[in-house]
Amino acid sequence: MTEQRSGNGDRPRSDAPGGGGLSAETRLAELLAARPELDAVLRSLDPGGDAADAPTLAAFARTLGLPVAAVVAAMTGALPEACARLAETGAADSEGTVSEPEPAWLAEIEHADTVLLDVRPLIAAGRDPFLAVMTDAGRVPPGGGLIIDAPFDPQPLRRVLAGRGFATWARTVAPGHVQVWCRRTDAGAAADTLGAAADAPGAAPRIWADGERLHIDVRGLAPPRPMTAILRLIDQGRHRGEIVVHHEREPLYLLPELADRGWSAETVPGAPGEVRLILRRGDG
Amino acid sequence: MAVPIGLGGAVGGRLLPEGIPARFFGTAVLAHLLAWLGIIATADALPGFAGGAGPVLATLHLLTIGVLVMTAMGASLQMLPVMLARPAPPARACNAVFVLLLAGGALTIGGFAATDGRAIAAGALASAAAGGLYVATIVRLIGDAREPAGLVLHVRAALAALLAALAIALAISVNYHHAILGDPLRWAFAHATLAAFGFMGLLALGFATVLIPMFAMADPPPEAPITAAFRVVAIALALALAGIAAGHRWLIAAALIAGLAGVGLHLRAMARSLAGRMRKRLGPEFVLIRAGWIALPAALLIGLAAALGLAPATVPMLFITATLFGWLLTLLMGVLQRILPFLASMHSARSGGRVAAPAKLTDERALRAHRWCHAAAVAALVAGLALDQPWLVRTGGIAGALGAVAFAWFALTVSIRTRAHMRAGPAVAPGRTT
Repeated sequence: MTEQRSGNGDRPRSDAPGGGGLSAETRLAELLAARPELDAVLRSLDPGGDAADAPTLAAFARTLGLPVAAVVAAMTGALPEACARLAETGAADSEGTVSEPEPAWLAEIEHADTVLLDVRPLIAAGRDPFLAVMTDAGRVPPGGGLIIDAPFDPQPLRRVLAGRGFATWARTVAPGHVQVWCRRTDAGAAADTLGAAADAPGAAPRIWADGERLHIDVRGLAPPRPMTAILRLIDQGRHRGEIVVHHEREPLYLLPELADRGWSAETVPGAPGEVRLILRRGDG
Repeated sequence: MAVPIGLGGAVGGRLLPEGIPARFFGTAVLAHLLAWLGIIATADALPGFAGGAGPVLATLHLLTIGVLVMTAMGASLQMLPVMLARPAPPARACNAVFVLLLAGGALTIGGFAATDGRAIAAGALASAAAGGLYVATIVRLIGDAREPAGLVLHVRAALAALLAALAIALAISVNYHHAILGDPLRWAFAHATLAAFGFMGLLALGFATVLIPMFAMADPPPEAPITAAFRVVAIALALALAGIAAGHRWLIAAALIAGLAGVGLHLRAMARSLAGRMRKRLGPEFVLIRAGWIALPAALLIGLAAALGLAPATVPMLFITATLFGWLLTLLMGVLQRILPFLASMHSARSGGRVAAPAKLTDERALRAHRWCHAAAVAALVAGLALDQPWLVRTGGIAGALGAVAFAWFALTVSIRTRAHMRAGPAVAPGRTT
């Protein structure tokens, strides 16, 4: 999400969520001014930032191809009053039901190679599940599966996964519970988990979480991929803590880009032949 | 334990002393202004120029040696070590390249302006020495590097083209005293083709595969289409040289068509890379970079019209102008406005404190002024040549000179702000760099 959303200091209108109401016409700037914790929920719905400039909740949903009710439902953990209103009207059920024909590959998913991930508690807690999904997606072997339990059909996330070599299929299990089945195709096994060209073997940085720290290993990538991978991670704005970079050389071109973004870099001891950096927002 | 990020170590090993690129770029900025002033001075003679020593040729070499080659050599000596993760070349070699090129350029340009054969020969000799040393330095720097493949391939071919262009330049300079060349004009065309499309062109195409994705935060274009584009462009160059040598108009036309195809393949790969970029709003440098990309096929089409005899007499000069000013200078200015603050920012880490943010080193007003003036200058220059109107050419020269002043203001601002930042000294704990 953009700063326009989270950094807006406008006073919320009386009918804005902070004041109790929530509708398709709710202005996102006002919503986030009143409930800044919802920014993480919006980020999880829009991993690529496609709807970053959407002024209203309806425009946000329309840009992402999501039902408005699904967007509202995603906020239910932080907005129980809205959930109650939706449950009363039945809007979530009518708009949020997913019915897609079963693909043939569904039967081929080996349970031994399937990773299960329930992101509903994360979203309900106002946390961004994107990194959890990407981390688990990175563990899936070719032909293996990933099953994500979500409160809605996460179309934008499915597009991101498709770009990284996953076929996806979704079904509604119950109101407010959608299960997304993902299968990693062979072609996608070597794809860059941060969006590198799929025809570039070995072009995938490895990303994993370690407590509050996020690690990215860019060793073996040809320039400028290490830099773009690291900056992509920073610019996504999902991780506010430290980022540990595992590099094979000191990233000279990265330093000006970090400076422009207000980040600092520090070297720490790493493995032999490794240059390890810790990146922090501001001066650390 | 936190340790310094290593500007004295591995990073420092890939970074030349800041004075070296500053020398190359500073000279180019000055020559840029002089080249536009040269256009003003030669406006009456420019539309009808058909080759030979004189002020027009001096002006063209102010641009080619003074701006284009000076920048290309300075930038590649600094940026290739970083791109290829290799140690920077020895400072002595870089300084020697600079001094020889400066002397060679000054003598050549002065010799052309005064129609002084001895000065031209001395200039050609010094320039050839600069070029030879530069090629040896870059060849040693690249070593057995294979990645990034597109970049390495283009740079190697560009070096070969530079050597050939310099050899021909030497032969032409000797020809002023001893007639050793059958048709000097034909050799001059071969020299210009190798220098503009061979050395500068291939270098521009190769560096674009790394720099443009870096500017836009995009993944680099895949190897296959870039290699395919390179092969087609190389064939086009070979056809052009064969056509010039044989004096065969249709062979030159075929070369230009092949060049258009190669450029099309290259630009398509770059456009695809940019389409997946992370930075949705591209910086203002892309105004010039894109304009340069448009000017290249436009120049080739003008060349095609000239080769087929479908255009007025001033078209050969129009082709040269569209190539040098429209494509190469426009593209170079776009790249320079991004890499000058970028390189200054990298060097600012030497102070042991924070890295200066490139945005804070840049005066956007100066760049905006330059962009408008440059666009007006190239448009007026092209129109003046197409319509055979020297006053339009002169107007273009004035606009270009104003733009060059604005660009010099920008470069000076970057330098002043970087020095101020470095004088401020360490502002963070050891180990922090930004």
